[in-house]
Amino acid sequence: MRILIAEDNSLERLLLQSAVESLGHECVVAKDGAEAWAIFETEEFDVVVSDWLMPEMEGLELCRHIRAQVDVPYTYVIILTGLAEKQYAITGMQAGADDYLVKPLDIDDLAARLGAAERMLAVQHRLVTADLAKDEILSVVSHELRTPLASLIGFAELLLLRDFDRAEQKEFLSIMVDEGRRLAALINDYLDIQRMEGGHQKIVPAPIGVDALLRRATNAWIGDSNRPLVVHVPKDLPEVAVDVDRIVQVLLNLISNAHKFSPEGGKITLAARAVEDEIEISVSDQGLGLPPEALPRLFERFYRVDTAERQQIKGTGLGLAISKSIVGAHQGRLWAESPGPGQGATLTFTLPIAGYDIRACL
Amino acid sequence: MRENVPFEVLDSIAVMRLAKMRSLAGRDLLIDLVALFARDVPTQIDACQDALARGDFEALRRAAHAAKGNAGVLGAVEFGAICARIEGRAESGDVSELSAFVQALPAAFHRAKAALDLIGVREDM
Repeated sequence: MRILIAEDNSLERLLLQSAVESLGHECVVAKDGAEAWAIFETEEFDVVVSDWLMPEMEGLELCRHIRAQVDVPYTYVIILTGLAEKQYAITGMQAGADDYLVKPLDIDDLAARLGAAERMLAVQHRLVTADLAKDEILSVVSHELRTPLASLIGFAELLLLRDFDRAEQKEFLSIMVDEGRRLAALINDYLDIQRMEGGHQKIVPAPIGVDALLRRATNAWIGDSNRPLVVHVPKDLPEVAVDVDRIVQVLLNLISNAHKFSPEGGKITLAARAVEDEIEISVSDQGLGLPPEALPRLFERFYRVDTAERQQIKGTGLGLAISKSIVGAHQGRLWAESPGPGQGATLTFTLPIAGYDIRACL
Repeated sequence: MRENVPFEVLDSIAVMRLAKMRSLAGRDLLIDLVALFARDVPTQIDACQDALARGDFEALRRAAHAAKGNAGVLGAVEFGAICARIEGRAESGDVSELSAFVQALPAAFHRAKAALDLIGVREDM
């Protein structure tokens, strides 16, 4: 943790700093409350350990200043008091301190208090994360889901209100089917990524040959002859230990992306090779390519490369985020490369080679 | 070699606590703490004497409190107890024996310093 110490007494300051650092925490020291407050205003700390009686802003005032802060991560405050000054501890906790330490400092006492701080901050962090996830669900529902829904309702209303010829009716209905499917895909993908990232989706690895794994994906792939899928897999690759359905999901996702962004006649290449103790699997296309600024953001949820030629290409914006979490759950990495717009893209992921221990279990 | 530690000047529990800290942060910490004690406490004793001469009880209380804190870190109980008495009397405005306590500070400080130096060179601490 990052800890700010406010203590006017030089010996106590040194002792406290040494103790905090020997417990493996990062430590910044201030020689009174005013200095501590000036530091606190510009830097973030997990814990503040403050003496009670100090010249230039006492512990009480420092504590009140810290608690008056809103919209900042919670800071755990520990008050230091002398053995005969326990009433300050009570006043301090009434002013917003979370705990107190009685001087002279005992390192085991300090370690126990910091342990409590760590537990409390972990709970707080989980709550904040859950809150952010809830905010994201709200924004997804309000934006991503409403767009296809509005289109569905719009075309249905049009069909109800006016008479169209058979061809127009068919066109509208096929848009409605597409939008409905997009909505379903979005909901499925979103639930999927929530499960993955919430750690509720267990990866059950089993050894499989790389060629068999890729064949599972290519067999399931319904492409078209205008954008041929070419597979390059050396015969002697070692096996990987993966959750087959999940990795096939990743492969289909990458292949379908390559297909979506490829021009007619664009070749899609699926390749695999062994690199040290990993297998590298890549999907390359000769399509729209990627601008350099898109590369680091490509795996964010709902991130879309915003160019005119991509406007007509639809997707949930979650495929790559899901793929990244699946690959990550396999201790692999997923990344994108592209020489630039119009020059195609390659998405590559790694999978660890199955160890003998895994084979021995089966 | 317990008899080598002068218990009347230093608190044995504090000494053990320091030994625990020493093994964690290395031997330098105790040396540094004693050096800080030797550097800062004489100034605080001077401040007590000045404040008493001026009759400034608030300054006296603050200086005695600071010296008491330093004593507490190193377990200098005798010196710390004198500081605590000065702090308490300065706070309540009780002048009885106040100048006697302030006069006792330098000698008590030197006893504490001598005892700490003894501990500082011991290898088995």
